[in-house]
Amino acid sequence: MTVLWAGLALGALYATVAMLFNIGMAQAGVFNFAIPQVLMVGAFVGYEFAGASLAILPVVFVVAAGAGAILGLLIELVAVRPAARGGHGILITTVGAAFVIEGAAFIKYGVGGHNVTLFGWDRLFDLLGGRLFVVDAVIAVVAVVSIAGVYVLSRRTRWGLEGRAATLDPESAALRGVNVTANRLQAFMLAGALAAVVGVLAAVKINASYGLGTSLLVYSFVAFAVGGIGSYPGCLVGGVVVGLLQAYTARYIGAEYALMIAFLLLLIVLLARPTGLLGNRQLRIV
Amino acid sequence: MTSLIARFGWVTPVVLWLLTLFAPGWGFTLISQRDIIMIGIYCLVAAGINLSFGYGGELALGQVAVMAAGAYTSLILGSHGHTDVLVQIAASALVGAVLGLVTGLPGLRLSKWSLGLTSFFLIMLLPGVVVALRDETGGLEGSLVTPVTAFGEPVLVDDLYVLVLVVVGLWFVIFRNLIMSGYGTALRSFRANPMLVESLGVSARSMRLSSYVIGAVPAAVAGVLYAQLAGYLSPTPFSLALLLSVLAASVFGGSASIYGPVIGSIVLVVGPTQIEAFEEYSVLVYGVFLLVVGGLFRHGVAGYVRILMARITGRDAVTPGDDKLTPPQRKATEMPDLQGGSLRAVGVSKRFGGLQALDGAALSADPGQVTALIGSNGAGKTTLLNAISGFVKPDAGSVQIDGTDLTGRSAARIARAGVSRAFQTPVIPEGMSVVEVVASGALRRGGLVSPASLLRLPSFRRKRRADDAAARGLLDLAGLSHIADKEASSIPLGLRRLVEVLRAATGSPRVVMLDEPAAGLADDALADLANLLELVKSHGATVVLIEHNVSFVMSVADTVYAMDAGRLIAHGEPEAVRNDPQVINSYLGRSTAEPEQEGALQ
Repeated sequence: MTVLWAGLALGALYATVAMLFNIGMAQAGVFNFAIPQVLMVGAFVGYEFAGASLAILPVVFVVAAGAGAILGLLIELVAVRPAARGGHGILITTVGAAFVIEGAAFIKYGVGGHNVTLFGWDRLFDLLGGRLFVVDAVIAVVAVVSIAGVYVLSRRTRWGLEGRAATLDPESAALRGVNVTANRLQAFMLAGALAAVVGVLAAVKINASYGLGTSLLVYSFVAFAVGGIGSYPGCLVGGVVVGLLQAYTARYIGAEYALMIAFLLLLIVLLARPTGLLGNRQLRIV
Repeated sequence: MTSLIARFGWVTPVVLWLLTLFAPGWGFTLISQRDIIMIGIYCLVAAGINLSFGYGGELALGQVAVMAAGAYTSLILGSHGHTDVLVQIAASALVGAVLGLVTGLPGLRLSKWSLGLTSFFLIMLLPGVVVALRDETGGLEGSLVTPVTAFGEPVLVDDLYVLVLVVVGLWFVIFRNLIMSGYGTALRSFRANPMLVESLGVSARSMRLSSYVIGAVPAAVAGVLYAQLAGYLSPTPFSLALLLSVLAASVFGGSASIYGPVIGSIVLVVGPTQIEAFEEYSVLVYGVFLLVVGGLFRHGVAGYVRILMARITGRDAVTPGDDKLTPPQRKATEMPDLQGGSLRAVGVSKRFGGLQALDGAALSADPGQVTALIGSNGAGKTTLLNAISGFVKPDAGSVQIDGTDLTGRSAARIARAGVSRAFQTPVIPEGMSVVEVVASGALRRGGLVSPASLLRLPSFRRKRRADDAAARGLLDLAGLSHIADKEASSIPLGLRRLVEVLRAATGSPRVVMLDEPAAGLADDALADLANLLELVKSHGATVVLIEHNVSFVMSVADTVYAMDAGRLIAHGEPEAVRNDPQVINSYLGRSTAEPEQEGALQ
């Protein structure tokens, strides 16, 4: 049971990162390589607060969200906007932005990982015959709530509709009065804010280190692609599948094979269903 | 000037290559031999990216994984006593080709982004594979590489330098000759739109897979050379970071260029990859470098050089006055006969889900005639054209040209059988001159890749000169000689339509099919188009066109077919079809005031 909980907790984290990727993809048609690095910055916000008297939940989350939104804004302005005019330059510039953030964190905090204790969430408790950390349960709740929230935002609001229109065809969307650039900017800020908040939780669960974002990148991407690029429920499904797969592989086969097996799963799923498990046929990202 | 550059553009790279080859002997040591070897290795991998990504537009980024496969192939062969470098290179190239094919197969089904990202992360699998095969690979700790031999002699550092230069030189000869031949034209057309390359008689699937395979081979060979340079092999160097720096080298030098990777590789190897000097700032500085390259330097060095050269030689974009046609130098009688064929499509049906798009539609067209197809939107006109040209497989019916049955063949095969096609939205590839675009119609006659084109044999040169002359002749007769050497993707809509018609008329097509060539054209451009159609028709071409501009149809067509709801409702002389009550009801419309009816049609 403990393995199951560990897998689900991991899966919830991957699911949220996949959701962050999906905000960029569904709302602006951009794969934002730098978003896990914003999450890492959020982790260091948590680290800075740990032990301080101001470390009350709303303050930490608001500060993290604010920092994340600003970073999202900067990424859009510096990495996406200049390269958005065509070609695949965005692939390079968002990676560049990721390196800049990672490099800055490396300069400030060095190589090692810093344990972060906040709100007493690093305690263990028993649930249905297995043990898990409080923070794992929090991450699971945050994952479900935030993915549901962004899904509603994407499907039920004008903002979501405009973004999806801009993803399919930026020119026609602009001709119909959609401010494509502003919509993309808002999407990046939203993703940034969410990423940094999740980062605080990730700091408690794993630790705060400059490599945190990169370590989440690959599994989260697999979760994202398996679930279906463009689909928010897909992020949740993909995250859980990949998290469980990793936990059980590590437990019964060996940790070094986890990535290989995840990739095998990705290839099988993509060959059988190129749009992923829950991928939306209408929203083909071309 | 332009032709001089095209003819002798190869001289500069060859001279630079020779200088690099002999530099160490002359005591030139500005860049160490080791760095130059590394630059060569980068060049090979980056050039592979240029072929599949820069020219083909396919985001297949498995090159570093392929490079690792090449390196480990070399390691394993060496440890089993197969130290001959030629054997190792051949074996690694084979492994690379197979791996390029296998990793590319998902690309047949995936959209660009999923393919790009999946292949991007492929390299993460390497450590797992290396550990699983640790008896052969030495696992994560790595393994010593057995030095290679050439013709039985050991290869020392100086020899490795020569070897790398020879391999890089050979690859660039192959790469350049491929790009500057039918294959390169097909690759650029494929990038513009897979349907375009199909209409030129080349299967899009074969373009896709061949670009993965050809792009992977140099990466695998680079792996062999890298193993020799390092002397010691572990999975560590084959990282996402390496993939990124090679990708950055490709983009920095110019992805859609032949020699760009050389410039990009020099900059990357001498610059950012050595910024360990900055120590803790290295990652940050590298990130800034990527931001600048991707954001502000999109065309790459080669791209900007090309823009500059185009300005100097006048090959740049058209200017406002250019849409006036120039009087032809040649007489129309000098144009060779176009030898159209007779098209017979009978009983063609096609159902999409619940929609019967075509319901026993028929069309006949004969040489020396313009056959027009009219009907309201959704009547099935474009679907009928697609069914004839193989983009849609008809459920029933038959399509014949001069008695040869083409029903159910692939679009590329039908194009090779002589059905040419222009699309509703003009598709003009980037980075090609107008004359090259027109000449690309000759791809329909085959000759995509041949030993003659790779070796630049006289037969290839003759064919290329003939294609070029034929295209220039056509352009002259169409009044477009003044834009023959301009960048084709920059020309305005009216000229674009004319160029598309010329491309469709090139390569001895039996039937030329045009989908709404007059859409969106102003009166002047309409008249130019009508003249061109008249010219093509008078030289014996079989022209089929879909058109909504009724007065234009009445003026150019010899026979008109009217369609409604997937069926043929009338055909015959233009006047007869125009006055057919069914056509008036379903398409032309009847005004409430009877006397105005005639006016509404003109």
